[in-house]
Amino acid sequence: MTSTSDTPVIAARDLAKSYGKLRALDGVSFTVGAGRIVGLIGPNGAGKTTALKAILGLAQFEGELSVLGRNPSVARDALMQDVCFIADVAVLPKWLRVSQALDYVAGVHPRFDRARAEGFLRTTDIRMKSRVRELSKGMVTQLHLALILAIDARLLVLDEPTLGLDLLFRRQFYDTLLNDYFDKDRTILLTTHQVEEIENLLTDVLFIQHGRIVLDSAVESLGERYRQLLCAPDQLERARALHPFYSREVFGRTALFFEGRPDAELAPFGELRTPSIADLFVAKMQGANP
Amino acid sequence: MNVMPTLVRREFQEHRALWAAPLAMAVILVLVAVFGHFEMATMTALSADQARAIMGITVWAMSLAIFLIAGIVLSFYLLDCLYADRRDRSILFWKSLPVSDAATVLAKFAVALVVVPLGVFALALVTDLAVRGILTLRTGAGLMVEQFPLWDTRAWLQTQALLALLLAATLLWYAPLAAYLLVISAWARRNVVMWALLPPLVIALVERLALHTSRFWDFITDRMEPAFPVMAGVEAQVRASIVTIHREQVVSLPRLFEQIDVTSIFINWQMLLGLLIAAALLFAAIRLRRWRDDG
Repeated sequence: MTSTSDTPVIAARDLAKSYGKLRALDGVSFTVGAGRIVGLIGPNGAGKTTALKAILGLAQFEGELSVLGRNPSVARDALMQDVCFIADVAVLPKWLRVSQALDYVAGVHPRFDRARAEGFLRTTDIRMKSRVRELSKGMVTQLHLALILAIDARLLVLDEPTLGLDLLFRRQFYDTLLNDYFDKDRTILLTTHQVEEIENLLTDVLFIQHGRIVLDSAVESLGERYRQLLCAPDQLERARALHPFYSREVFGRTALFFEGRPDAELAPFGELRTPSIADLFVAKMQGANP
Repeated sequence: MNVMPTLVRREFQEHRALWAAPLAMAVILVLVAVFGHFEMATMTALSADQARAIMGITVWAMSLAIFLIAGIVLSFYLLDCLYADRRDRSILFWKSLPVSDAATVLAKFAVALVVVPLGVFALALVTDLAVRGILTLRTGAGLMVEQFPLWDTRAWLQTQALLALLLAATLLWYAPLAAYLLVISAWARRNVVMWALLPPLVIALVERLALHTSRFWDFITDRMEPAFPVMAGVEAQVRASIVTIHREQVVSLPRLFEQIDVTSIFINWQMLLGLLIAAALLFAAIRLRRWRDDG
């Protein structure tokens, strides 16, 4: 994976973790450079959350892992000054008042900018005196986001941050993330089911399946390795001979997915394009389980 | 940035019974003093010693009512505090902030064994003064027949000092129990109360069936004795403090305070053993909080 800085924010080598007989992570290696927005994408049970838990020092693992130069299972407390995360669903304690949440984070986090969090909350309908249990799900996410984005962290980890939110909140969530938070010194690692919504956000993608990384690429170089060929019916037989790893029917035509074939070889059989991340994800997952 | 005070404040925001229940008890005591109807036994012709003993008993009774409520609330608090974060699934929010698991667990332990007891002691002291003030005013206004209570500054201070000593000893005595409840709270997936009771019951039952003895059960019940066995070390002094009033034998707390051997209360092998066990259990609770993975 390309990187804007020499020292990776995350460097994982041969990460492994088992829950009983299940190999949740089975020799995962990857690096994430500073200033990237990386999507860790995989079906349910692929090992996404397990990988994030290892990175956040929440679960023990085998293999080597360095996050901002530290081992998260040893130095979690120090690491949390530079790392923020929102776990799968925005769960804040129900009894907590908005003002109490601000007091708490301000009391324990040296890099929390309270004015910034309050400024963000003023743009919402959330009132300082409200308890979390009185807020709608979308508002809880806004509150959580206001707290986390006011922390000057180097790595932000988001695990299914928009699960259960309606489209308006999801859109707003990613807009805020991109416009108000992200800059070249910050790195975001996120997992989601809704690949389409983050396609345009990501700089890098990691596909994970059965505890293994099956694709690791910068988004801009996806087109060099992966091609989608919309094939006319009369050319289909000959195109198939070039061993596409996945194919599907689209409005009477067939889309064939190739890896590592030069354009010159494919162009005669139809229309070439770079597959979308969503298409590529489906192709990779289904292609591996024919 | 004020980590410990912030962690402690959070406990009082989350577990409001910690301050609400003792406060409610204090309010009840004051209301009883304002509206209650008292038929006082005639307490004239008391010797100075008897008067001091009565002073001690009245302080004791009022404080005990508040301490007991606090004790009950604290037991449930300790059992609930770590479990609650996992039950409402907010644990990952707390863990997303740079607070060590040791600080989290120790803050909760300190709330139960230091912060709440100090507050409750101060509350009991203020309540005692308020109740005495109200009763004195009512007597002065002719609403009550008998002069009550008999005020004796020295006896009052001595009793309060004795209460503070015994409260501190009781807290240290129950430290291993508090740490045990934290371990259960950090460990159990549900039914914390059942899991807290089960291990001692099972061990006692196994001992009973296998060895036909009940040493473990006796040890546990001794350890839980409300009149706490720390007092065993000062039994002679307790006996020497007994005063007879109207054929009733009562321990004169001011007199006990003058005689009590503070060292023997705090420094004895049972107390030290308990503190060692408490430290080991706290360590276990911190490890569980660090690595327990419910997902």
